[in-house]
Amino acid sequence: MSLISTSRWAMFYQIRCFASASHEQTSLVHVEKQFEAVIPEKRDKDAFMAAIAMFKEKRGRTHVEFINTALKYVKEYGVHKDLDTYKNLLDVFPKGKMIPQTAFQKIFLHYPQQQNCAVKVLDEMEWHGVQPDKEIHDIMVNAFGEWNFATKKVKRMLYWMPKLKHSNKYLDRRHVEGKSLSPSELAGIALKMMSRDPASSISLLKFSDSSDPVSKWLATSQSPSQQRLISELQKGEEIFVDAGRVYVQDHPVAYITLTGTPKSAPTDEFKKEEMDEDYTSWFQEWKKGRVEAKRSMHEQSHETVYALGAMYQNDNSTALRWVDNLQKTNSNLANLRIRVRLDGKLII
Amino acid sequence: MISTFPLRFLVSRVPVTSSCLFSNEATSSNSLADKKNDEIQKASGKSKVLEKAKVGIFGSSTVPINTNFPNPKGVVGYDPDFSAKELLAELPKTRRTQGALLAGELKEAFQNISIEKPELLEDIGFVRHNEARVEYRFDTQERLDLWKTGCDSDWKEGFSKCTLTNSDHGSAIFSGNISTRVLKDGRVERAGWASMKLEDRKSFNRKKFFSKWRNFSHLLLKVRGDGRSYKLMLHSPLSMDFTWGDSFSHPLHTHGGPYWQYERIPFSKFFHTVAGRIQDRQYRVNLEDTSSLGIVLMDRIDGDFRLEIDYIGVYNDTTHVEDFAYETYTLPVFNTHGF
Repeated sequence: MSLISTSRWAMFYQIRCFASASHEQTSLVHVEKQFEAVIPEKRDKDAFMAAIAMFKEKRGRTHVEFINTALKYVKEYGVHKDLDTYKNLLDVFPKGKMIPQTAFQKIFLHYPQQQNCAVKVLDEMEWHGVQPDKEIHDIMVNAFGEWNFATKKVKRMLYWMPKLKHSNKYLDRRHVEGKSLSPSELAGIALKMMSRDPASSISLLKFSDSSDPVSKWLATSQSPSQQRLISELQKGEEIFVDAGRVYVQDHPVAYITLTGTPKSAPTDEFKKEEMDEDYTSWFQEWKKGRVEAKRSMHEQSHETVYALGAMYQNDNSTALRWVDNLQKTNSNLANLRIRVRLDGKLII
Repeated sequence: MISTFPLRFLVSRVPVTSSCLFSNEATSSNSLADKKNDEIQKASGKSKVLEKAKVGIFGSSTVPINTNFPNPKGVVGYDPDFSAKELLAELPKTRRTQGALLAGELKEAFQNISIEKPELLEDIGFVRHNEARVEYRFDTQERLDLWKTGCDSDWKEGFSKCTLTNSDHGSAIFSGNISTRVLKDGRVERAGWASMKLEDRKSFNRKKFFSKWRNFSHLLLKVRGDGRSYKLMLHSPLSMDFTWGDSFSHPLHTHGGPYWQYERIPFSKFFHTVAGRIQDRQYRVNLEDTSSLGIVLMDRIDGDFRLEIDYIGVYNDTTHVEDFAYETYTLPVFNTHGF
């Protein structure tokens, strides 16, 4: 329904635009102009709230048109992740008038335009991952009634969104959401997310003073078992520094890996359990079992991961600096041939 | 493909295209308006995006139902237009592929004649703790071809791109780019999704159901992602129209980086969705009806993505006794639910 109404509106707008420029002074254009009139630098939450307040003051009847237009500017004004804005937008709807009273009104969509518009606002909230609260529920109840179609949408959101909000066990979104994190802080979060060895320690090295315009830093994540793996490498063996990219929510973070070719043959992840009791090759099996037990999680089937890191800029010279820094704790790195493969395309 | 899409000339509020199109005719406003109207007519004659939806017997619903079946794909605007000649040309290939499938099925049926029914034994509890079974690998081209990809640009509804390719160590790489930019055609409201879906069927397009997974408690995936959150969907469409959108979903969070992650997702945690929307009435996934599996990305984040998949299978954990993870709503007796 809302789909049809918007497309119709779009058609209407086009037709009107194309026909002539003389009929500019309709209310619809007026609302749009109100949002357009603000210069891009001043488009913020206050300006948006002021537009809503102005509409409320005039007590206009064109709630749906106003909200539809306002929704289009939500992102431009940078308020698309702000719960207050959505509360204020939904508060535009008059209270009491649209609550269904008769059975007929309850069964059929009472005030369909308004309800669909409210659902559209809630959908926009959901799309941007904004969690609703009790207040927004009460605003909807006061406008549309307890069990109306649009109110049910809030109830569903209140039920499901908190359930799935913290389902990601790898990243605590509270550390990222609504915070302005510096690149090094983001890199730290990314490294913590990627380092699956619980023993790994993440370190940050800052080597810029206050006079530097850009902060220079190197981050490293390495565990004791990775240090042991490096120390066991023979002289002249090759290891690689490669680039990758990971998302910490909506922030892409570049990282680097120190990897090498695996030392031992890939193990089979699945063991077929044989029921027959055959002890003829028990010694080989026992030896194999011991080797497999020693294998760390860093020795994957096609590569061994020696360290993870992140840098303030991604090029070969900075990567060499990162390796130099790593060499302080891994003296065996001096004996190895290190191939840095950063200049060029990122993996992702 | 999209960049030469004629319909964007229809949209008046695209300053770049309109100015470059009409800059040399900006002499008089009347001729400009006429010119624009001509353009609209031409564009609307050519384009298919805003064409009228086909009207079914019972009203003009664009949603395909049993009595209002726009086309075999059940997709609005889908027009396979092929000629009889092409059909004849395609016939030997179809006969070959379907014949091979049928031969394989018959061979398997005759080879496995036995009194012992493994699934029956599993039903009475012969699936042991920690038992896993890998069902789908990606090491050969045939296995990779069972999976189809789709994204919004395939339907001319957006600008996302995706591909599914082999990696050099026997896994599949589902990669591409997500763009949440909405195509300005007045119809599309949201954009930015990419998905891969299993199309593993028996001969003559008969469905293969996941009923042999019913005694396992978890879905098992070995993946290597990029930190984004994907979604797993167990599709269970049946013959009646109200089940065509049925699927059971659960997010698949990835940690990114060089380490593989072994993701075990209990079947009890999949929630019921229809066309991606969570439903009020929740029930556990019924693997007897489930015929396809999909991995979808729609996390509203612009940018490249990459998910490497080694295998997909099932895993049994006997300590997992939960039947269904979500309590269901208790609706008031008099409610508008049915309407």
